[in-house]
Amino acid sequence: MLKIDYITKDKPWSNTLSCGFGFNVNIYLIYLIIYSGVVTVSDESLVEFSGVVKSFKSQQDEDRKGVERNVIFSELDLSIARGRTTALIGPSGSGKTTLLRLINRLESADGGRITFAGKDVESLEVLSLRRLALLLPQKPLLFEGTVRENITYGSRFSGGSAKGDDGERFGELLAVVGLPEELLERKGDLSGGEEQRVCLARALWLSPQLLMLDESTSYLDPPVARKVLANLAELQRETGLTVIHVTHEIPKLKLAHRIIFLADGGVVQEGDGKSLLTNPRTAQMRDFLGELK
Amino acid sequence: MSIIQIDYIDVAISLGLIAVVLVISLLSRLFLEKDLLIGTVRCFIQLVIVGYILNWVFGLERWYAVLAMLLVMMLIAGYSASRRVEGRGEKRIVVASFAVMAASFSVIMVVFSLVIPLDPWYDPRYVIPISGMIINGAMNGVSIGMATLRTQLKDRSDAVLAALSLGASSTQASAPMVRESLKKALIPTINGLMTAGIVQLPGMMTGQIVAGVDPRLAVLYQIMVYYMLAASVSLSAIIGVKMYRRRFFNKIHQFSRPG
Repeated sequence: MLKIDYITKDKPWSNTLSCGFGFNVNIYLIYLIIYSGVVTVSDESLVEFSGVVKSFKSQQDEDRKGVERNVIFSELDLSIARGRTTALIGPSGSGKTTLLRLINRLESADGGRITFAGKDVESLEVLSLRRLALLLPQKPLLFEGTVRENITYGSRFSGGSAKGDDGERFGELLAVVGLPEELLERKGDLSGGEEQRVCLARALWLSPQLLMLDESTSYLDPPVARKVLANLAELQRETGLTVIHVTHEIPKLKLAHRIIFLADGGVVQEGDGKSLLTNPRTAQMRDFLGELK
Repeated sequence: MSIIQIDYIDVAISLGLIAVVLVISLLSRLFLEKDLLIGTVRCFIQLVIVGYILNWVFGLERWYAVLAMLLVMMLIAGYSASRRVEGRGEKRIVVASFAVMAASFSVIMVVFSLVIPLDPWYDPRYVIPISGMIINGAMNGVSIGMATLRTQLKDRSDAVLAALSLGASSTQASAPMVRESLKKALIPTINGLMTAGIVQLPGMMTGQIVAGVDPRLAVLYQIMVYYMLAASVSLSAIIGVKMYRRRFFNKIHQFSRPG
Protein backbone atom coordinates (compact mmCIF):
# COMPACT_ATOMS: atom_id res chain seq x y z
CA MET A 1 0.00 0.00 0.00
CA LEU A 2 1.21 3.47 -0.90
CA LYS A 3 0.56 6.44 1.33
CA ILE A 4 2.07 9.84 1.83
CA ASP A 5 3.34 9.96 5.39
CA TYR A 6 3.28 13.68 6.07
CA ILE A 7 3.37 16.88 4.16
CA THR A 8 5.45 19.83 5.21
CA LYS A 9 5.21 23.02 3.24
CA ASP A 10 8.53 24.40 4.30
CA LYS A 11 10.53 21.28 3.45
CA PRO A 12 8.79 19.68 0.43
CA TRP A 13 11.85 17.57 -0.49
CA SER A 14 11.54 15.70 2.75
CA ASN A 15 8.02 14.40 1.93
CA THR A 16 8.12 10.65 1.57
CA LEU A 17 5.95 7.89 0.21
CA SER A 18 5.54 4.90 2.39
CA CYS A 19 5.60 1.71 0.38
CA GLY A 20 4.94 -0.68 3.22
CA PHE A 21 7.64 -2.78 4.83
CA GLY A 22 8.98 0.50 6.24
CA PHE A 23 10.41 1.41 2.81
CA ASN A 24 10.17 5.14 2.15
CA VAL A 25 10.82 7.03 -1.09
CA ASN A 26 11.46 10.71 -1.32
CA ILE A 27 8.66 12.37 -3.34
CA TYR A 28 10.92 15.10 -4.62
CA LEU A 29 13.14 12.43 -6.08
CA ILE A 30 10.18 10.83 -7.83
CA TYR A 31 9.16 14.20 -9.31
CA LEU A 32 12.68 14.67 -10.52
CA ILE A 33 12.77 11.26 -12.19
CA ILE A 34 9.34 11.62 -13.78
CA TYR A 35 9.97 15.18 -14.93
CA SER A 36 13.33 14.48 -16.47
CA GLY A 37 11.82 11.38 -18.09
CA VAL A 38 9.07 13.46 -19.71
CA VAL A 39 11.57 16.00 -20.94
CA THR A 40 13.79 13.40 -22.59
CA VAL A 41 10.82 11.60 -24.16
CA SER A 42 9.28 14.71 -25.68
CA ASP A 43 12.54 16.00 -27.11
CA GLU A 44 13.33 12.76 -28.82
CA SER A 45 12.20 12.39 -32.42
CA LEU A 46 10.24 9.40 -33.62
CA VAL A 47 10.60 9.99 -37.33
CA GLU A 48 13.54 11.59 -39.11
CA PHE A 49 13.86 12.49 -42.78
CA SER A 50 17.34 13.32 -43.98
CA GLY A 51 18.03 14.33 -47.55
CA VAL A 52 14.92 12.54 -48.81
CA VAL A 53 14.30 12.71 -52.54
CA LYS A 54 11.05 11.68 -54.15
CA SER A 55 9.61 12.17 -57.60
CA PHE A 56 6.84 10.65 -59.65
CA LYS A 57 6.43 10.00 -63.32
CA SER A 58 4.04 12.71 -64.45
CA GLN A 59 0.81 11.39 -65.97
CA GLN A 60 1.18 12.69 -69.52
CA ASP A 61 4.75 11.46 -69.73
CA GLU A 62 3.89 7.85 -69.15
CA ASP A 63 3.21 7.36 -72.84
CA ARG A 64 6.44 8.96 -73.91
CA LYS A 65 9.88 7.44 -73.87
CA GLY A 66 11.90 10.28 -72.35
CA VAL A 67 10.28 10.39 -68.95
CA GLU A 68 10.16 13.73 -67.21
CA ARG A 69 9.70 13.42 -63.49
CA ASN A 70 7.55 15.47 -61.23
CA VAL A 71 9.73 16.28 -58.23
CA ILE A 72 7.91 16.21 -54.87
CA PHE A 73 10.86 16.44 -52.50
CA SER A 74 14.24 17.65 -53.72
CA GLU A 75 16.03 17.15 -50.42
CA LEU A 76 13.75 16.95 -47.46
CA ASP A 77 14.99 17.12 -43.87
CA LEU A 78 12.56 17.08 -41.00
CA SER A 79 11.87 15.42 -37.72
CA ILE A 80 8.67 14.46 -35.95
CA ALA A 81 8.78 14.68 -32.15
CA ARG A 82 7.78 11.62 -30.18
CA GLY A 83 4.62 11.89 -28.11
CA ARG A 84 3.61 15.15 -29.77
CA THR A 85 1.17 16.32 -32.44
CA THR A 86 2.76 17.73 -35.56
CA ALA A 87 0.55 19.37 -38.17
CA LEU A 88 1.54 19.29 -41.82
CA ILE A 89 0.26 22.06 -44.03
CA GLY A 90 1.02 23.16 -47.54
CA PRO A 91 -0.57 23.74 -50.93
CA SER A 92 -1.93 20.73 -52.80
CA GLY A 93 0.84 18.83 -54.52
CA SER A 94 3.36 19.84 -51.86
CA GLY A 95 3.71 16.19 -50.85
CA LYS A 96 1.85 15.95 -47.54
CA THR A 97 0.24 12.60 -48.34
CA THR A 98 3.42 11.37 -50.02
CA LEU A 99 5.36 12.20 -46.86
CA LEU A 100 3.00 10.04 -44.80
CA ARG A 101 3.18 7.22 -47.33
CA LEU A 102 6.97 7.34 -47.25
CA ILE A 103 6.91 6.78 -43.50
CA ASN A 104 4.78 3.63 -43.69
CA ARG A 105 6.42 2.63 -46.98
CA LEU A 106 3.36 2.62 -49.17
CA GLU A 107 5.84 4.58 -51.30
CA SER A 108 9.61 4.31 -51.43
CA ALA A 109 11.96 7.27 -51.49
CA ASP A 110 14.32 7.68 -54.44
CA GLY A 111 17.12 8.79 -52.15
CA GLY A 112 17.99 9.87 -48.64
CA ARG A 113 17.12 8.18 -45.38
CA ILE A 114 13.98 7.90 -43.27
CA THR A 115 14.18 6.51 -39.77
CA PHE A 116 11.40 5.38 -37.46
CA ALA A 117 12.30 5.07 -33.76
CA GLY A 118 15.95 5.35 -34.73
CA LYS A 119 15.90 2.59 -37.34
CA ASP A 120 16.00 2.97 -41.10
CA VAL A 121 12.47 2.18 -42.32
CA GLU A 122 13.95 0.00 -45.05
CA SER A 123 15.47 -2.26 -42.43
CA LEU A 124 12.12 -2.77 -40.67
CA GLU A 125 9.63 -5.49 -41.58
CA VAL A 126 7.20 -3.51 -43.69
CA LEU A 127 3.91 -5.00 -42.43
CA SER A 128 4.78 -4.46 -38.77
CA LEU A 129 5.98 -0.94 -39.60
CA ARG A 130 2.55 -0.17 -41.10
CA ARG A 131 0.86 -1.26 -37.89
CA LEU A 132 3.20 0.90 -35.80
CA ALA A 133 3.01 3.92 -38.10
CA LEU A 134 -0.65 3.85 -38.96
CA LEU A 135 -1.98 5.93 -41.81
CA LEU A 136 -5.62 6.97 -41.85
CA PRO A 137 -6.75 8.34 -45.22
CA GLN A 138 -9.29 11.11 -45.60
CA LYS A 139 -11.93 9.02 -47.32
CA PRO A 140 -13.30 6.60 -44.74
CA LEU A 141 -13.56 3.03 -45.93
CA LEU A 142 -15.44 0.37 -44.06
CA PHE A 143 -14.90 -3.29 -44.88
CA GLU A 144 -17.78 -5.73 -45.14
CA GLY A 145 -19.24 -6.60 -41.75
CA THR A 146 -20.41 -4.87 -38.61
CA VAL A 147 -18.83 -1.86 -36.94
CA ARG A 148 -17.40 -4.23 -34.33
CA GLU A 149 -15.79 -6.39 -37.02
CA ASN A 150 -14.44 -3.28 -38.66
CA ILE A 151 -12.83 -1.99 -35.50
CA THR A 152 -10.95 -5.26 -34.98
CA TYR A 153 -10.23 -5.70 -38.70
CA GLY A 154 -6.51 -5.04 -38.36
CA SER A 155 -6.07 -7.92 -35.92
CA ARG A 156 -6.67 -10.51 -38.63
CA PHE A 157 -3.56 -9.34 -40.46
CA SER A 158 -1.28 -9.55 -37.47
CA GLY A 159 -2.20 -13.18 -36.87
CA GLY A 160 -4.27 -12.19 -33.84
CA SER A 161 -7.86 -13.28 -33.56
CA ALA A 162 -10.61 -10.86 -34.50
CA LYS A 163 -13.07 -12.22 -31.99
CA GLY A 164 -13.48 -8.85 -30.41
CA ASP A 165 -14.34 -10.14 -26.96
CA ASP A 166 -12.38 -7.37 -25.33
CA GLY A 167 -15.35 -5.38 -24.08
CA GLU A 168 -13.37 -2.90 -22.05
CA ARG A 169 -11.19 -2.02 -25.00
CA PHE A 170 -14.25 -1.40 -27.20
CA GLY A 171 -15.67 0.87 -24.51
CA GLU A 172 -12.47 2.91 -24.34
CA LEU A 173 -12.10 3.28 -28.08
CA LEU A 174 -15.74 4.20 -28.63
CA ALA A 175 -15.40 6.82 -25.91
CA VAL A 176 -12.33 8.29 -27.62
CA VAL A 177 -14.04 8.55 -31.02
CA GLY A 178 -17.40 9.47 -29.48
CA LEU A 179 -19.60 6.71 -30.84
CA PRO A 180 -22.36 4.96 -28.87
CA GLU A 181 -21.99 1.24 -28.11
CA GLU A 182 -25.30 0.49 -29.88
CA LEU A 183 -23.50 1.16 -33.13
CA LEU A 184 -21.22 -1.86 -32.70
CA GLU A 185 -23.59 -4.33 -34.36
CA ARG A 186 -24.62 -1.97 -37.17
CA LYS A 187 -23.81 -3.06 -40.72
CA GLY A 188 -23.50 -0.16 -43.14
CA ASP A 189 -25.86 2.82 -43.16
CA LEU A 190 -23.47 5.15 -41.32
CA SER A 191 -22.91 8.83 -41.98
CA GLY A 192 -19.56 9.98 -43.36
CA GLY A 193 -18.61 11.36 -39.95
CA GLU A 194 -19.51 8.09 -38.20
CA GLU A 195 -17.50 6.14 -40.76
CA GLN A 196 -14.49 8.37 -40.16
CA ARG A 197 -14.77 7.74 -36.44
CA VAL A 198 -15.04 3.96 -36.95
CA CYS A 199 -11.89 4.16 -39.07
CA LEU A 200 -10.14 6.10 -36.30
CA ALA A 201 -11.18 3.46 -33.75
CA ARG A 202 -9.96 0.75 -36.13
CA ALA A 203 -6.58 2.45 -36.31
CA LEU A 204 -6.33 2.91 -32.54
CA TRP A 205 -7.31 -0.75 -31.99
CA LEU A 206 -3.84 -1.71 -33.22
CA SER A 207 -2.18 0.58 -30.60
CA PRO A 208 0.14 2.32 -33.06
CA GLN A 209 3.10 4.41 -31.93
CA LEU A 210 2.43 6.91 -34.67
CA LEU A 211 -1.00 7.90 -35.95
CA MET A 212 -1.04 9.71 -39.28
CA LEU A 213 -4.28 11.57 -39.92
CA ASP A 214 -4.60 12.64 -43.53
CA GLU A 215 -7.52 15.05 -43.14
CA SER A 216 -9.14 12.11 -41.40
CA THR A 217 -11.52 14.17 -39.31
CA SER A 218 -12.71 16.38 -42.15
CA TYR A 219 -16.24 14.91 -42.27
CA LEU A 220 -16.89 15.60 -38.59
CA ASP A 221 -18.95 18.58 -37.42
CA PRO A 222 -16.69 21.13 -35.71
CA PRO A 223 -17.96 20.39 -32.14
CA VAL A 224 -17.59 16.62 -32.68
CA ALA A 225 -14.15 17.07 -34.20
CA ARG A 226 -13.13 19.23 -31.24
CA LYS A 227 -14.28 16.55 -28.80
CA VAL A 228 -12.59 13.70 -30.69
CA LEU A 229 -9.31 15.60 -30.98
CA ALA A 230 -9.42 16.51 -27.29
CA ASN A 231 -9.92 12.83 -26.45
CA LEU A 232 -7.04 11.97 -28.74
CA ALA A 233 -4.84 14.51 -26.93
CA GLU A 234 -5.81 12.89 -23.64
CA LEU A 235 -4.88 9.47 -25.03
CA GLN A 236 -1.62 10.99 -26.22
CA ARG A 237 -0.83 12.17 -22.70
CA GLU A 238 -1.59 8.73 -21.31
CA THR A 239 0.15 6.57 -23.88
CA GLY A 240 2.77 8.79 -25.50
CA LEU A 241 1.12 8.40 -28.92
CA THR A 242 2.71 10.51 -31.66
CA VAL A 243 0.32 12.16 -34.12
CA ILE A 244 0.92 13.70 -37.53
CA HIS A 245 -2.12 15.64 -38.66
CA VAL A 246 -2.57 16.87 -42.21
CA THR A 247 -5.28 19.50 -41.95
CA HIS A 248 -6.22 22.87 -43.31
CA GLU A 249 -8.53 23.93 -40.52
CA ILE A 250 -7.16 26.61 -38.23
CA PRO A 251 -8.88 25.33 -35.03
CA LYS A 252 -7.29 21.93 -35.57
CA LEU A 253 -3.93 23.49 -36.35
CA LYS A 254 -4.08 25.33 -33.04
CA LEU A 255 -4.13 21.98 -31.25
CA ALA A 256 -0.80 20.93 -32.74
CA HIS A 257 2.41 21.28 -30.76
CA ARG A 258 4.31 21.95 -33.93
CA ILE A 259 3.43 22.97 -37.47
CA ILE A 260 5.47 22.21 -40.57
CA PHE A 261 4.75 24.13 -43.76
CA LEU A 262 5.69 22.17 -46.87
CA ALA A 263 6.07 23.73 -50.31
CA ASP A 264 8.37 23.67 -53.33
CA GLY A 265 9.96 20.34 -52.53
CA GLY A 266 10.83 20.93 -48.90
CA VAL A 267 10.08 22.55 -45.56
CA VAL A 268 9.52 26.28 -45.93
CA GLN A 269 8.91 27.04 -42.28
CA GLU A 270 8.31 25.11 -39.13
CA GLY A 271 7.74 26.02 -35.58
CA ASP A 272 5.73 25.98 -32.44
CA GLY A 273 1.99 25.78 -33.28
CA LYS A 274 0.66 29.11 -32.05
CA SER A 275 3.67 31.27 -32.86
CA LEU A 276 3.81 30.01 -36.42
CA LEU A 277 0.12 30.74 -36.97
CA THR A 278 0.40 34.27 -35.64
CA ASN A 279 3.77 35.03 -37.12
CA PRO A 280 4.29 33.49 -40.56
CA ARG A 281 7.75 34.52 -41.73
CA THR A 282 7.39 34.07 -45.46
CA ALA A 283 4.95 35.81 -47.79
CA GLN A 284 4.08 32.41 -49.27
CA MET A 285 3.00 31.09 -45.91
CA ARG A 286 1.16 34.29 -45.03
CA ASP A 287 -0.88 34.00 -48.24
CA PHE A 288 -1.51 30.34 -47.59
CA LEU A 289 -2.73 30.88 -44.03
CA GLY A 290 -4.87 33.78 -45.22
CA GLU A 291 -6.90 31.41 -47.37
CA LEU A 292 -7.57 28.90 -44.61
CA LYS A 293 -10.75 28.75 -42.60
CA MET B 1 -26.61 -44.88 -90.10
CA SER B 2 -25.14 -42.49 -92.64
CA ILE B 3 -24.94 -38.72 -92.57
CA ILE B 4 -26.90 -36.63 -95.05
CA GLN B 5 -24.40 -34.81 -97.25
CA ILE B 6 -24.67 -31.05 -97.73
CA ASP B 7 -22.60 -28.92 -100.11
CA TYR B 8 -21.78 -25.24 -100.70
CA ILE B 9 -25.09 -24.71 -102.53
CA ASP B 10 -26.99 -25.87 -99.44
CA VAL B 11 -24.89 -23.51 -97.31
CA ALA B 12 -25.67 -20.66 -99.74
CA ILE B 13 -29.37 -21.37 -99.22
CA SER B 14 -28.88 -21.12 -95.43
CA LEU B 15 -27.40 -17.70 -96.09
CA GLY B 16 -31.01 -16.69 -96.73
CA LEU B 17 -31.46 -16.89 -92.94
CA ILE B 18 -28.77 -14.24 -92.50
CA ALA B 19 -30.70 -12.12 -95.02
CA VAL B 20 -33.63 -12.21 -92.59
CA VAL B 21 -31.39 -10.82 -89.84
CA LEU B 22 -30.12 -8.18 -92.25
CA VAL B 23 -33.65 -7.03 -93.06
CA ILE B 24 -34.55 -6.86 -89.37
CA SER B 25 -31.42 -4.81 -88.66
CA LEU B 26 -32.22 -2.41 -91.53
CA LEU B 27 -35.89 -2.00 -90.59
CA SER B 28 -35.19 -1.53 -86.89
CA ARG B 29 -32.25 0.77 -87.60
CA LEU B 30 -29.90 -1.35 -85.47
CA PHE B 31 -26.93 -0.43 -87.72
CA LEU B 32 -25.57 -3.93 -87.35
CA GLU B 33 -25.39 -4.63 -91.10
CA LYS B 34 -21.66 -4.00 -91.43
CA ASP B 35 -20.70 -6.16 -88.44
CA LEU B 36 -23.17 -8.83 -89.51
CA LEU B 37 -21.69 -9.03 -93.02
CA ILE B 38 -18.11 -9.11 -91.70
CA GLY B 39 -19.10 -11.77 -89.18
CA THR B 40 -20.84 -13.87 -91.81
CA VAL B 41 -17.85 -13.77 -94.14
CA ARG B 42 -15.28 -14.35 -91.36
CA CYS B 43 -17.24 -17.31 -90.00
CA PHE B 44 -17.34 -18.84 -93.47
CA ILE B 45 -13.66 -18.33 -94.26
CA GLN B 46 -12.37 -19.39 -90.82
CA LEU B 47 -14.43 -22.56 -90.66
CA VAL B 48 -13.65 -23.61 -94.23
CA ILE B 49 -9.92 -23.17 -93.53
CA VAL B 50 -10.25 -25.10 -90.26
CA GLY B 51 -12.11 -27.86 -92.11
CA TYR B 52 -9.24 -28.21 -94.56
CA ILE B 53 -6.59 -28.08 -91.85
CA LEU B 54 -8.42 -30.72 -89.79
CA ASN B 55 -8.82 -32.89 -92.86
CA TRP B 56 -5.10 -32.57 -93.52
CA VAL B 57 -4.10 -33.29 -89.91
CA PHE B 58 -6.49 -36.26 -89.75
CA GLY B 59 -4.93 -37.58 -92.95
CA LEU B 60 -1.37 -37.14 -91.69
CA GLU B 61 -1.94 -39.30 -88.63
CA ARG B 62 1.25 -38.02 -87.00
CA TRP B 63 1.46 -37.22 -83.29
CA TYR B 64 3.57 -34.12 -83.81
CA ALA B 65 1.03 -32.63 -86.18
CA VAL B 66 -1.68 -33.07 -83.52
CA LEU B 67 0.49 -31.57 -80.77
CA ALA B 68 1.52 -28.65 -82.99
CA MET B 69 -2.11 -27.95 -83.71
CA LEU B 70 -2.96 -27.98 -79.97
CA LEU B 71 -0.08 -25.64 -79.25
CA VAL B 72 -1.24 -23.17 -81.89
CA MET B 73 -4.80 -23.34 -80.51
CA MET B 74 -3.54 -22.64 -76.99
CA LEU B 75 -1.39 -19.71 -78.08
CA ILE B 76 -4.22 -18.14 -80.03
CA ALA B 77 -6.55 -18.68 -77.06
CA GLY B 78 -4.04 -17.09 -74.66
CA TYR B 79 -3.55 -14.11 -76.93
CA SER B 80 -7.29 -13.63 -77.47
CA ALA B 81 -7.92 -13.87 -73.72
CA SER B 82 -5.29 -11.21 -73.00
CA ARG B 83 -6.79 -8.89 -75.62
CA ARG B 84 -10.02 -8.80 -73.69
CA VAL B 85 -8.12 -7.43 -70.68
CA GLU B 86 -7.52 -3.67 -70.73
CA GLY B 87 -4.10 -2.16 -70.21
CA ARG B 88 -0.68 -2.19 -71.70
CA GLY B 89 2.36 -4.36 -71.39
CA GLU B 90 3.25 -7.89 -72.36
CA LYS B 91 2.71 -9.23 -68.87
CA ARG B 92 -0.97 -9.92 -69.46
CA ILE B 93 -0.26 -11.82 -72.70
CA VAL B 94 2.33 -13.98 -70.95
CA VAL B 95 0.05 -14.58 -67.94
CA ALA B 96 -3.02 -15.37 -70.07
CA SER B 97 -1.11 -17.73 -72.36
CA PHE B 98 0.54 -19.51 -69.47
CA ALA B 99 -2.76 -19.90 -67.61
CA VAL B 100 -4.57 -21.23 -70.70
CA MET B 101 -1.76 -23.70 -71.39
CA ALA B 102 -1.29 -24.91 -67.83
CA ALA B 103 -5.02 -25.36 -67.21
CA SER B 104 -5.94 -26.96 -70.52
CA PHE B 105 -2.87 -29.19 -70.56
CA SER B 106 -3.73 -30.60 -67.11
CA VAL B 107 -7.36 -31.24 -68.03
CA ILE B 108 -6.45 -32.74 -71.43
CA MET B 109 -4.01 -35.12 -69.71
CA VAL B 110 -6.66 -36.31 -67.27
CA VAL B 111 -9.34 -36.72 -69.94
CA PHE B 112 -7.25 -38.73 -72.38
CA SER B 113 -5.33 -40.78 -69.91
CA LEU B 114 -8.19 -41.72 -67.59
CA VAL B 115 -11.58 -40.99 -69.19
CA ILE B 116 -11.23 -41.72 -72.91
CA PRO B 117 -8.42 -44.18 -73.61
CA LEU B 118 -7.33 -43.64 -77.21
CA ASP B 119 -5.66 -45.85 -79.76
CA PRO B 120 -3.38 -44.40 -81.06
CA TRP B 121 -2.95 -42.02 -78.09
CA TYR B 122 -3.02 -38.94 -80.32
CA ASP B 123 -6.12 -39.93 -82.36
CA PRO B 124 -6.88 -36.47 -83.85
CA ARG B 125 -10.61 -37.23 -84.31
CA TYR B 126 -10.96 -37.11 -80.50
CA VAL B 127 -7.99 -35.10 -79.33
CA ILE B 128 -8.52 -32.00 -81.44
CA PRO B 129 -12.26 -31.29 -80.96
CA ILE B 130 -12.32 -32.21 -77.27
CA SER B 131 -9.13 -30.30 -76.51
CA GLY B 132 -10.62 -27.40 -78.47
CA MET B 133 -13.52 -27.25 -76.04
CA ILE B 134 -11.18 -27.44 -73.07
CA ILE B 135 -8.95 -24.68 -74.45
CA ASN B 136 -11.97 -22.53 -75.21
CA GLY B 137 -13.18 -22.93 -71.63
CA ALA B 138 -9.74 -22.01 -70.30
CA MET B 139 -9.71 -18.94 -72.52
CA ASN B 140 -13.06 -17.74 -71.20
CA GLY B 141 -12.08 -18.39 -67.59
CA VAL B 142 -8.83 -16.52 -67.87
CA SER B 143 -10.17 -13.54 -69.76
CA ILE B 144 -13.19 -12.96 -67.51
CA GLY B 145 -11.07 -13.52 -64.39
CA MET B 146 -8.22 -11.20 -65.39
CA ALA B 147 -10.48 -8.46 -66.76
CA THR B 148 -12.56 -8.52 -63.58
CA LEU B 149 -9.48 -8.41 -61.36
CA ARG B 150 -8.23 -5.36 -63.17
CA THR B 151 -11.51 -3.43 -62.84
CA GLN B 152 -11.92 -4.55 -59.24
CA LEU B 153 -8.45 -3.34 -58.24
CA LYS B 154 -9.07 -0.08 -60.07
CA ASP B 155 -12.51 0.59 -58.59
CA ARG B 156 -11.71 -0.62 -55.09
CA SER B 157 -8.20 0.80 -54.77
CA ASP B 158 -9.27 2.63 -51.59
CA ALA B 159 -10.08 -0.70 -49.95
CA VAL B 160 -6.72 -2.13 -51.01
CA LEU B 161 -4.88 0.86 -49.56
CA ALA B 162 -6.95 0.81 -46.37
CA ALA B 163 -6.07 -2.84 -45.78
CA LEU B 164 -2.38 -2.32 -46.62
CA SER B 165 -2.31 0.59 -44.17
CA LEU B 166 -3.56 -1.75 -41.45
CA GLY B 167 -0.65 -4.06 -42.09
CA ALA B 168 -2.28 -6.46 -44.55
CA SER B 169 -0.03 -8.25 -47.03
CA SER B 170 -0.76 -7.70 -50.70
CA THR B 171 -2.40 -11.15 -50.82
CA GLN B 172 -4.67 -10.28 -47.90
CA ALA B 173 -5.44 -6.79 -49.18
CA SER B 174 -6.50 -8.05 -52.60
CA ALA B 175 -8.28 -11.22 -51.44
CA PRO B 176 -11.83 -9.80 -51.79
CA MET B 177 -11.07 -8.65 -55.35
CA VAL B 178 -9.54 -11.99 -56.27
CA ARG B 179 -12.60 -13.79 -54.90
CA GLU B 180 -14.91 -11.56 -56.92
CA SER B 181 -12.92 -12.22 -60.10
CA LEU B 182 -12.98 -15.99 -59.66
CA LYS B 183 -16.70 -15.87 -58.95
CA LYS B 184 -17.38 -13.88 -62.09
CA ALA B 185 -15.28 -16.30 -64.15
CA LEU B 186 -17.05 -19.37 -62.80
CA ILE B 187 -20.67 -18.23 -62.77
CA PRO B 188 -21.39 -18.87 -66.50
CA THR B 189 -20.01 -22.40 -66.18
CA ILE B 190 -21.99 -23.13 -63.03
CA ASN B 191 -25.13 -21.77 -64.67
CA GLY B 192 -24.38 -24.03 -67.61
CA LEU B 193 -24.21 -27.05 -65.29
CA MET B 194 -27.52 -26.04 -63.69
CA THR B 195 -29.47 -25.71 -66.93
CA ALA B 196 -27.70 -28.43 -68.95
CA GLY B 197 -30.15 -30.28 -71.14
CA ILE B 198 -33.11 -28.18 -70.00
CA VAL B 199 -32.57 -24.89 -71.71
CA GLN B 200 -30.50 -26.20 -74.59
CA LEU B 201 -29.03 -29.39 -75.89
CA PRO B 202 -25.32 -28.74 -75.89
CA GLY B 203 -23.29 -28.65 -79.08
CA MET B 204 -21.32 -31.83 -78.80
CA MET B 205 -24.35 -33.91 -77.86
CA THR B 206 -26.38 -32.43 -80.71
CA GLY B 207 -23.55 -33.20 -83.10
CA GLN B 208 -23.21 -36.78 -82.00
CA ILE B 209 -26.96 -37.38 -82.15
CA VAL B 210 -27.07 -35.97 -85.69
CA ALA B 211 -24.14 -38.23 -86.56
CA GLY B 212 -26.19 -41.22 -85.44
CA VAL B 213 -24.75 -41.94 -82.01
CA ASP B 214 -27.05 -43.48 -79.40
CA PRO B 215 -28.39 -40.47 -77.41
CA ARG B 216 -27.53 -42.26 -74.15
CA LEU B 217 -23.87 -42.41 -75.15
CA ALA B 218 -24.01 -38.83 -76.45
CA VAL B 219 -25.32 -37.78 -73.04
CA LEU B 220 -22.42 -39.49 -71.25
CA TYR B 221 -19.95 -37.67 -73.48
CA GLN B 222 -21.71 -34.40 -72.84
CA ILE B 223 -21.63 -34.86 -69.08
CA MET B 224 -17.91 -35.49 -69.27
CA VAL B 225 -17.53 -32.39 -71.42
CA TYR B 226 -19.34 -30.28 -68.83
CA TYR B 227 -17.17 -31.55 -66.01
CA MET B 228 -13.93 -31.06 -67.87
CA LEU B 229 -15.05 -27.57 -68.91
CA ALA B 230 -15.77 -26.65 -65.30
CA ALA B 231 -12.29 -27.86 -64.36
CA SER B 232 -10.55 -26.02 -67.16
CA VAL B 233 -12.43 -22.75 -66.61
CA SER B 234 -11.76 -22.72 -62.88
CA LEU B 235 -8.13 -23.84 -63.14
CA SER B 236 -7.29 -21.26 -65.76
CA ALA B 237 -9.11 -18.50 -63.85
CA ILE B 238 -7.26 -19.34 -60.63
CA ILE B 239 -3.85 -19.52 -62.30
CA GLY B 240 -4.45 -16.40 -64.40
CA VAL B 241 -5.94 -14.24 -61.63
CA LYS B 242 -3.33 -15.18 -59.02
CA MET B 243 -0.45 -14.57 -61.41
CA TYR B 244 -1.97 -11.36 -62.73
CA ARG B 245 -2.45 -10.00 -59.22
CA ARG B 246 1.33 -9.89 -58.78
CA ARG B 247 1.50 -7.36 -61.56
CA PHE B 248 -0.11 -4.74 -59.28
CA PHE B 249 2.02 -5.25 -56.17
CA ASN B 250 5.70 -5.45 -55.39
CA LYS B 251 7.68 -7.40 -52.83
CA ILE B 252 7.26 -4.80 -50.11
CA HIS B 253 3.48 -4.80 -50.52
CA GLN B 254 3.20 -1.52 -52.37
CA PHE B 255 0.21 -1.17 -54.67
CA SER B 256 0.18 0.36 -58.14
CA ARG B 257 -3.39 1.01 -59.15
CA PRO B 258 -4.30 -0.06 -62.69
CA GLY B 259 -4.68 3.11 -64.75
